[in-house]
Amino acid sequence: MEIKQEDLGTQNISKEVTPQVIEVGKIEVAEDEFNDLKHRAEVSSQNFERAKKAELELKEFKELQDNQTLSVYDDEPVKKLEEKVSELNQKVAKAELIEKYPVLKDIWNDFETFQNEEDNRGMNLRTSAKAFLTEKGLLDPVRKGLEKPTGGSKEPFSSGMKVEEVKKLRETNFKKYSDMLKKGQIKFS
Amino acid sequence: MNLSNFGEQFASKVLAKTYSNAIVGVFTNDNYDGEIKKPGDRVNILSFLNSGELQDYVVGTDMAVQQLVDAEDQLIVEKRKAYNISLDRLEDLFTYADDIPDAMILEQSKVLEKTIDSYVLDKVGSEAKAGNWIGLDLKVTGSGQTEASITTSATGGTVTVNANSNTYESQVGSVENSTDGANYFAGFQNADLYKGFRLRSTSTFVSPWYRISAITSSTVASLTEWDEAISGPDFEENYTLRGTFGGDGTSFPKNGAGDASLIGMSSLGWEFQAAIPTAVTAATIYDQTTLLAQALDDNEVTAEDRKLVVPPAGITMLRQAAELQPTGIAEIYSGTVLNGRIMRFGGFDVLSAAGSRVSIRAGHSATSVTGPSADLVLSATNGYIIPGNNTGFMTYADKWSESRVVDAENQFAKKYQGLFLFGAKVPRYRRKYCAVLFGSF
Repeated sequence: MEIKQEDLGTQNISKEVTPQVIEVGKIEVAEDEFNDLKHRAEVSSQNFERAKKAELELKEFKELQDNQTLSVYDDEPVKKLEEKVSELNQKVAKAELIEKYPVLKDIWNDFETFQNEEDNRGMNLRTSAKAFLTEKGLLDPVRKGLEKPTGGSKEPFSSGMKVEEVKKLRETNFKKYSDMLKKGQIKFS
Repeated sequence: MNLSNFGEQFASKVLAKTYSNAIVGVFTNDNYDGEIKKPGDRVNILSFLNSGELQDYVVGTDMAVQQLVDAEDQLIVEKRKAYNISLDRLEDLFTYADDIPDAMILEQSKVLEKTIDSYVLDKVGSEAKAGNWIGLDLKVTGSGQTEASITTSATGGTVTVNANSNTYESQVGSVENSTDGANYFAGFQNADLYKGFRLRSTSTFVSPWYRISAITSSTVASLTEWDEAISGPDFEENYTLRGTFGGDGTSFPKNGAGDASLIGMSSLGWEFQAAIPTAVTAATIYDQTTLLAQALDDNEVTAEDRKLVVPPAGITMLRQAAELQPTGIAEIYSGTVLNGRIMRFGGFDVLSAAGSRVSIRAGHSATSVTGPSADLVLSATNGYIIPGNNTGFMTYADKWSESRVVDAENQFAKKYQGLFLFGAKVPRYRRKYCAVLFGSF
């Protein structure tokens, strides 16, 4: 700690006391200051220890991780199996998702593009699907109620066949025409 | 109603009424393939000629394969009937009736109905299986004075008969019919065409019934099998007719049962099936029509969809018949009468063929004196050809091919013109689906 010489001189002048001999290599500080210094030193020491410990743990973890990776990928069939399982899991997840949101089936490629966007990476598949469908407006609830009025045709409703239709049927498929006649199904509109 | 729509309205209304009243709708079937476009067109009828086969199955042994023999018969749309009606009077009616008058439709449909029904019923006499006729048979008993011989030909055979040949060469004269004791002309007549003919040695040794396909003279006629087949597993080798070794009338063992062939025998007699119409009365009509059912059963014709077409006089007799009293076995169509169906009995739907739709044919001639042909006085009795059949027997096809309203030439008026085409066909194999009662009322 840095000690200021000015502070020491001022003290001796104002109080007219016998000059004291100061031993070389020895510094005197106030008790409060000393306690403060001591506390800081202890904290610093603890932080150092913690940092050192953390560094050690990190090192151990990395070693462990390296060892594990090596042990898994050294075995080729297992690797393939894992890839297969991963692929199947993806398929199952996709199927479940399509079952829940059938509309996704036709726009799956769009959904994958959406998933791969930077903002959406790492999002849970279901959440991602919900977000995608909401964004597309495909999760809107179906409105129930009265049908919208269309005004309808101005022509009166006709329950029979037009003369041209009957003529065409008679000329091109007489068997059906005669069957319909026998059943009374030919009525002119 | 707009006159320009008259054509389609007229055709559909007339046809609808015709289809609901004509017996053709239930008497025939429409199992054909193809579309009629113009007169003379042909449509196809598919038939399977062989019966189903069952074989014994032996474990570990390959099964024999049954080959289906199919044939395609062609139905020619041979009939064409035209309408050409002036509409100037009708035009006034449309202004307030707004429809084609019912009376007009009714009359037109009745004419069409009768035309079609008469056409299909007329085919029965030439298409029903020889051997399936119920009537009075003419039996010429064999003796030293008779000779009947058959020579086989490419299509079947030729038969030559000669009665009293010692006295009158190439003449047959008259003979006494052992069936009813009356005298009849013994030779061939047009009345016998398409009926059954068989050689006869004794009453229990006869040939099968052959079909008289053509008559050359009173002593010579052409014969074919009922289905016009000339070979098959039931034919004797080198013969184009079945059962030439004879049998008891029901069974004809292949190559006979130890007897000689009828074809080589002398002094044979002969027999015409249903040569003379049998008298039908209220007391006999029930029994006579049940014989039709037996003929169909003998040919293993399915019991479903059997129809009996009877003229009005016959319907009256059926209603009077004791067997059908007190309620009639079933006058089930007492409400709305469709396609002429008025009752059901003996496994038949009975159809009333109004007017003169059921065909009439002259029977074989009776003679009042005996002697050579030149001296005979012949008289024949007419009989109705009453069919009892399964609907598979005949296939019918029709088409109202043209229907138009045109301006009448040289008049300020319009005309309706229509063309109706139709035809019917009995595939040869299905001749057995029909039996005929040849009866007089």
